Amino acid sequence: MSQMDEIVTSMKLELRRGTIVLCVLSQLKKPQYGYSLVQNLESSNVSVDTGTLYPLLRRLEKQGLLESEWETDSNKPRKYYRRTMLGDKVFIELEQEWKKMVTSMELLIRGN
Amino acid sequence: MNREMNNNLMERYLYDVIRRIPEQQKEDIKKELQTLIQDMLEERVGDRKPTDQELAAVLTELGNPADLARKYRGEEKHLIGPRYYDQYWFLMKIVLVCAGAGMVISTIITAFVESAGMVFSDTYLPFGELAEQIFPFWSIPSILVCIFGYITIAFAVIEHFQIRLDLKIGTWSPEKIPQIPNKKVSISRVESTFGVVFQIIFASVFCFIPHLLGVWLEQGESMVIIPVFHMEIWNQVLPFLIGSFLMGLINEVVKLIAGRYNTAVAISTVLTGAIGFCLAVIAFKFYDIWNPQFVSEIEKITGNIFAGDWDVLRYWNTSAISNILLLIIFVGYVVECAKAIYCAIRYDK
Repeated sequence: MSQMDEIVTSMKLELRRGTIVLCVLSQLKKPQYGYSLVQNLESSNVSVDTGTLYPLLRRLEKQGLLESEWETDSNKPRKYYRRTMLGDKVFIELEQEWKKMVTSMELLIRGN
Repeated sequence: MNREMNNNLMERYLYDVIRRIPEQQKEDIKKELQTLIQDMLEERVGDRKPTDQELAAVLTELGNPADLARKYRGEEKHLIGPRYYDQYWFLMKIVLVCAGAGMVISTIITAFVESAGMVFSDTYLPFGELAEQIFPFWSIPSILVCIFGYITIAFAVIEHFQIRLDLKIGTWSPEKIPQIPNKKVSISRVESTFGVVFQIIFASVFCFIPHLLGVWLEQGESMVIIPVFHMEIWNQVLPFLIGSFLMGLINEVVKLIAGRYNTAVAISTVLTGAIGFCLAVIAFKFYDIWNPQFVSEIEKITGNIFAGDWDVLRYWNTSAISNILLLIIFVGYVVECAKAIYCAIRYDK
C-alpha cells in the first residue's frame, strides 16, 4: 500500500503546485503579510510550505503582480503584499481559465 | 542561557541563509525570515520563551538553509538543465568521437609513415617507442576526459546565465528517421566492434611484442623464447604488416558505420582487401620474415635433432608456410568481396 501512497502523494503535490499561484493571488486583494497568508490558506485546507511561499511572493512581486510595503509599527517588522493593477488583471484571467478547466474536468470525470 | 542559545541558533540559521543571497536582498530577506520564525514560534508556544528544541523544530520545518536560499534565488538544481541538455549531449558525442578517432588514427598513420621511412635508414627503433614519441597512446583517455570537462563547464556556465543557445542540432524531422534494417544484409554492430578490437590487438602485438610470438623453452632456471619471426629485419617488415591491419581496420570501421551491406561497404571491402593483400604479399614474399635460425635454435636449446620422420619441425618450410597463409588470406578476401558485392547489388537502394 505504501507504494501507492507514494504515487498518490506525489501526484497530489503536482496538483497543488499547479494551483498555488492562483490561490495566493486570490487572497491578496487586501494587503497581507507572509505568515498571515499561510494561516489563511491553511484554514481553507490549502497547506503550503512556508519555505516555498515567501520566495513565491518575491517572484510574483518581481513579475509585477504584487507590490510590497514594510510595516514597522509593532516590534516585529512585517512585509505586506498586495495585488497590483496588473496583478488584478492577471488574477481575473486566471480565474476564468480556472472555471473553464473545472467545467471540462467535471465533464470528463462525470462522463456526460 | 536559553535565550542566548535561542538567539545564537536563530542568528546562525539566518546567517547561513543570508550569506547565499545576493547583496541587495540580504537585509530584506533577513527581516522577513526573522519575523516569520518568530511568528511560527508564537503559534506553537504562545507568549512564553521557546525552548531550543522548539526553535530547532521550526527551523527544520523551514528547511535546509541552502535549499531556502536557492528558492529565494529562483534556481533549479541542475548543472545542465533540460533546456540545454539535448544540445550538450549531442555536441559531446560528436566531439569525443571525432577527437578520439582522430587522435588514434593520426597516431597510427604517423607512426606507420615514420617507420616506413626507417626502411631506408639503419637506425633501429622499436615501434613502440616510435609511437610513444609521436603521441603516447595512454594519454588519449585522459585527453578525452579533459575535453569532456571543458564542454561540461562551458554548458554549466551557459545554464547558469541562461544564455540563449540554439544549435539546431539534435533536432528531429521525419526525413531523419533511419531505414528499417533488413535482417539479411545488416552487419551486427557487435561483430564489427569485435572486429575492430581484434585488429587493434593483433596490430599491437605485432608492433610491441612480436618477440613473444614463438616457442617458449625452459633453459635451466629461466624461460627462453625462440621467436618465429625474423627479429632483425622486423622494423622493415612491420610497416607492411601494419598497413595490412590498417586496411582491415578501415574496412571494419566502414562496416560499423554503415551497419548494413551497401555499395559503400562493397567498395571498401574490395579496395581495402586488395591493398591489404598486396601489402601482405610484400611482407611475406619480399622479405625474410621468418626466423632463419628457428629450427636450429630450438635444436640447440633442447638438445634434440629433428631428423626423424615423425618430427614435425623437420618439415619447417618457411616458403610453404608463407604461401599457405597468403592463400588463406586470399580466399577469405574473395569470399568477403563476393558477399559484399552480392548484397550491395541485390539489396541496396
